[in-house]
Amino acid sequence: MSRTGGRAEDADGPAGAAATSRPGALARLRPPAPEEFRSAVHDPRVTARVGLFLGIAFLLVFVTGLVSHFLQNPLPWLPVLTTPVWGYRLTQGVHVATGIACIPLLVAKLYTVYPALFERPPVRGVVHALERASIALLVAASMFQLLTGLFNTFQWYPWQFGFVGVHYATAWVVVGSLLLHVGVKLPIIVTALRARVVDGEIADGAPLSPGRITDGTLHSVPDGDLAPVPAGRDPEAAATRRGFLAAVAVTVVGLTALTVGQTVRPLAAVSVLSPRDPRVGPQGLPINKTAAEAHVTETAVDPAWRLELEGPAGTRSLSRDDLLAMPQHEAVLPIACVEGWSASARWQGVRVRDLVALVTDDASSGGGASGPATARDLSVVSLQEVGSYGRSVLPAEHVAHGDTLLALRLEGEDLDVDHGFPARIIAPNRPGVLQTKWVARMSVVQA
Amino acid sequence: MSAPGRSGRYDTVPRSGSRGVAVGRALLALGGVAMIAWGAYVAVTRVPSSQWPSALVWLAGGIVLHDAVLAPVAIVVGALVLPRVPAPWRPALRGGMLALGVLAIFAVALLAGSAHRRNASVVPQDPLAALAVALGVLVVGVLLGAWWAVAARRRSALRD
Repeated sequence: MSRTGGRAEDADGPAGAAATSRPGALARLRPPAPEEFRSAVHDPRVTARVGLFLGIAFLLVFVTGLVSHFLQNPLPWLPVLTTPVWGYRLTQGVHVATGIACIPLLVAKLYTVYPALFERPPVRGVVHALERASIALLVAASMFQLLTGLFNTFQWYPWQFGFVGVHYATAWVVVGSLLLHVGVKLPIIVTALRARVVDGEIADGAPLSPGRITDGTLHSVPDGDLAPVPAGRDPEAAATRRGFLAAVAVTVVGLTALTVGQTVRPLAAVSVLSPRDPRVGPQGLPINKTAAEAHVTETAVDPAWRLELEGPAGTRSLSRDDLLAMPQHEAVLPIACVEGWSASARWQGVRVRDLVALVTDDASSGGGASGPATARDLSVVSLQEVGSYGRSVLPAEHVAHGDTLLALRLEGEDLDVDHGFPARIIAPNRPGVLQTKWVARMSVVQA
Repeated sequence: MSAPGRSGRYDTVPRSGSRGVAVGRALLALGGVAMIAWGAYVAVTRVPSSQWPSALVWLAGGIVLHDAVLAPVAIVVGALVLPRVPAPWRPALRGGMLALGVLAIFAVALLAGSAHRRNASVVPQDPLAALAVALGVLVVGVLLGAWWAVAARRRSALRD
């Protein structure tokens, strides 16, 4: 077959075998050689542009993932922010939505460099082997991260490892191998991104070596050298490149529109591909762990339930009626799950700082924002005996916040048992897994 | 570096075009290696060794799934279909294939999530109906994209 037999055809693969309709053509299919990929899509300008968006998306997912990690594993020197109350809802919503958007971006990015899969010989020396190994690591870790992350949002765990720890470790490998890859390819990326494509022609004075990237008729490869072809205008190839980028953009936007409704309520109705509907669940609010899963169906509704409070000034034991007799406060706060769904709700209950004041010396500090009683963290223990989120530590900043509640009611009704009846923690700007349900005991952490 | 003018050289480690690029790529490479090392350290120290086999199988599985299944399917379908359709249809069909691949991944997640549903608020929708709607959106998107490209071509032909 000949590449010079016409302009760039929009075919992938061994066109000599596949483009013919003679019988038996399929039987002659063989792995193509890189230069047989004749579509203008396999072009460093396309790769670099898809890669740019994928890289930005990966960084966004990484940073928002770190936010979630350090909210759940606080560092002593890291400040705890209670405002904005929707902070975690935003960062985790972005984390999951961007992670989902990365799936088509990654597939598209890989598609543009398919010729590289068929390079022969596969390895040409030590440096080349190292580079290919780093790309293999990047692809493997990215695929792993995006797929297991997606399955996690659907609460499907077809593996034998703890998701959270592995997801965290892999995140560093993904971004590390991404930076390494960008470092290796930087000269190509810089050249490709500087090459503005207007009607198939390079439109600026970027320092391109002649023949390096000329026109769309060029059989250009993701990197390395380019075949010398006559420079000239090829609107067909330019249209192919633009069309591909547009198709990728539409796919990403479409997928986002069909999934982001799990956190953007107005889009909930069209959110057919998302694992959650923020309007569906007991009392119109989704849940992660039911009372049955937590093995608290009996203990949670037992009239003998008491909230045990422990502090420097002693202990108190309060029934639900005692709690309802205390000053009630109402707060509109989101439940924002690590899995990406979130929904705002109206919670009623007792301010946690009022409860803390009952068991600390400084009785007057209940109303203050930073009195001694609220300057300490609070350990919260659930009735829940199984699972990893049966206890949490409420940082002092949250204890002091006036909207941090031991919630007893939701939207004017008693809490559903699946939402944590008889009492649960709800605090601003916090991951849902830390909003402990079925609270049994709260202890002021002694400094 | 490969010989000038040779085609088909992939994954060639290119030469830096300027000092800024050289410094930038050195910093990126060093930072990248450091982050990979930290990730490996975190994995080794915090993930119990009993969990490593499953994690490694999944890690390798992703690249096998891509290189041995997704990529060959895309290449063969592209080689068989794209040359046989009018040029304006190709970007829309490429996008459609991309979306179909992503939809297949979501189909697995939706069906498995619904089958292993632990409470009624997980995958509350009928997964098959949801996939049918998404597929409908995909088909409409491809048709609209192709129609738009054909119309654009007609406009540009009239202009010329």
